[in-house]
Amino acid sequence: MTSQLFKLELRLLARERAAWVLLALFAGALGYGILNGSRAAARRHEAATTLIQGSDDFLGQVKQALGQQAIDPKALASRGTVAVLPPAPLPLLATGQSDLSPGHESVVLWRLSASGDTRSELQNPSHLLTGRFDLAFVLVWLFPLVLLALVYDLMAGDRESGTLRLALSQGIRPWSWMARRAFARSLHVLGLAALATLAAGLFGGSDGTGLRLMVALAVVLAYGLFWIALAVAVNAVVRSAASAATSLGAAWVLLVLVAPTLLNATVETLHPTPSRPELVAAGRKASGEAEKRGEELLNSFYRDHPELAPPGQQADFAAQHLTVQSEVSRAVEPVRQKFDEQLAQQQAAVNRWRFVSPAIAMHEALTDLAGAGYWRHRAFREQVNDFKKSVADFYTPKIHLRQALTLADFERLPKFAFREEPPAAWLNRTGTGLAGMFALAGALGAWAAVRLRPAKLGALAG
Amino acid sequence: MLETVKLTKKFNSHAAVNQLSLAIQPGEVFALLGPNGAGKTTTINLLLGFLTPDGGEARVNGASVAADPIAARRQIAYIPEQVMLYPRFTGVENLDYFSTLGGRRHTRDELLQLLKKAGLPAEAADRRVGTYSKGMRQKVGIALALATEAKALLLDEPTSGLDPAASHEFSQLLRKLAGQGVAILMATHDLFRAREDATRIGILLDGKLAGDYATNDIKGVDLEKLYLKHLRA
Repeated sequence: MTSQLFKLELRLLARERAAWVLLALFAGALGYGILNGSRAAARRHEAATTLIQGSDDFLGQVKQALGQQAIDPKALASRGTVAVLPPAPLPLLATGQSDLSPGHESVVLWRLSASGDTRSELQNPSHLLTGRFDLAFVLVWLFPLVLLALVYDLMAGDRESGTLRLALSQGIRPWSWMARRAFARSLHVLGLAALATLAAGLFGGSDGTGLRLMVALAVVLAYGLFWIALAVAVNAVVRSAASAATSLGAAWVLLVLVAPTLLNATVETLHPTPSRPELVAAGRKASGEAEKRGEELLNSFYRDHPELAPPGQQADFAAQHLTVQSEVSRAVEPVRQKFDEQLAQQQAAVNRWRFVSPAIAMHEALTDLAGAGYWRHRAFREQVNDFKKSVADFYTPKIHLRQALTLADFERLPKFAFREEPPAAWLNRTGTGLAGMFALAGALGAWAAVRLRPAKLGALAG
Repeated sequence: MLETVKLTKKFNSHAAVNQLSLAIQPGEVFALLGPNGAGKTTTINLLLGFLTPDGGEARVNGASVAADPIAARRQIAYIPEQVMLYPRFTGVENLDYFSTLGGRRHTRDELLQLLKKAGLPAEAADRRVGTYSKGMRQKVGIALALATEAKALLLDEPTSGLDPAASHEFSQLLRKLAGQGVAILMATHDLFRAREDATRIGILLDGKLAGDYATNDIKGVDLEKLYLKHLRA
């Protein structure tokens, strides 16, 4: 019975011209989202490749030069190096924070205290304002709309047209009938969304991202399931197709448009991000004060580190500048820490409240899986900070002691290599999101099943 | 067999069906007459399990409607005043869909045969039902009763709005079904059809059975007068 009923439901859907138009529009939107995502990913990939290539070329030149003669460490430290965040594992899936958070940072010994946002990719300001029309946008915003357009009148339409009484009098369990009908009517939309997700992973993903892709597929299906369950639940209570459409439309506006905006506003109010000008001003103030006390700071440094004091020599400008920079870093650190803490608290609040709307949970999961979310960029910032420390540790003694760099030092030069998070970390986060979405869909489905009990048929049949 | 035992349904304090006890045997056609609001449709809804009774019990072929509504409904065919079908489906597709809902699978040839038995012209079977007349839709309803091999048939004003020829054709189909052992309950205002088709006639007033006559016993009686007498009593 199931397959025959399923076939007939598909045939009924196929006779609706509007359904074909909707499916074509959705397929077009998915394709355009992937195309847009791939353009942005290609731009970021090109920027990263150019920077890495430039850095590699420079290191090659350094090695060659060191083979011929020793080099003053100040010269190499002045040139600095670039810490680059490698392309995201599934960049076509979501742009996320990739166009807001820097994908690389120039690490120069003399400017270690400076803020890291030094962007090289040109950004269209309107993109930054409106966000990108990427696959995540289509899946979070348009996917539920298209699904709802096809399943909004699962039962309300039959009640209105009078076919419901005839159907229910056949002795089918209303819940099982609705579930099959919902599945048949949403099959094409779910299939297109799953295909687009697969395509984004297969054509744009890095090696070894199979697990991420599988989880992304599960997240997309769970999100779809939530909206289908909501449509079934609404159809179990409303009496007309118009009421069902209005209720589901209102739910979409509330969950996809209003809830994320409200959550953002709430989080920003509870944990306001310190302004960047505040950070810059703190840096300038600290720098001015430290420069005035340059000599005093250096003397203090040598008292603490007598092993680095140049024997019988006058401290030079570079040594004093390093000490000043170190003091500036120390002074600015609380402001920077406050900035990071507030961001972390904001993200923690978003994580805690993401189930207020499955759209938030879905977006968080997709950007996380794509490698374009908060967590990967935070890991990058933390690893860059560690790298800055290792650069300072490497050069500081040599500059104070005025030791030249030799070929033997080349292999010890600090080099940045980003370490991806272990799968357990992102699996834990996205797994929670996925379980939450399944739980929400399950709760709605269970509620609808209770409302659609055969004993409640009077209310259903009208 | 269709059976109600002291069946009662109240809407607020008003009893729409009041201690109604009926037993319609296989092959019997029971015409339920009564003015608007007498409780005819409520009785049908109670037998279908669309309403929960406040007292008494409804049974279909021994299955309690309240205790096992699915089992009871699987033995019932229901033809409302307006048989509403999916307009984008053809007659044969509608029959396939609804009989599949009822748990019966038929080949296309079997479905076409059922529609033919119900009197639907062969050329109409593959036409979308959006183009069907009321009579044609009712024939699909009868075909559905045949397809599901229902033991009982509930009809709610089945001949209302049908032209005399269609009405006559419908009557013949009913008799054929009754001849196959189906217990039929027909709620109607059509006294002529009631006398022609029914083996028993019941008059329902304020949810109570005011009269229950075997058609053979009232052959010489003017049914309209009898009906009005009950109404004025």
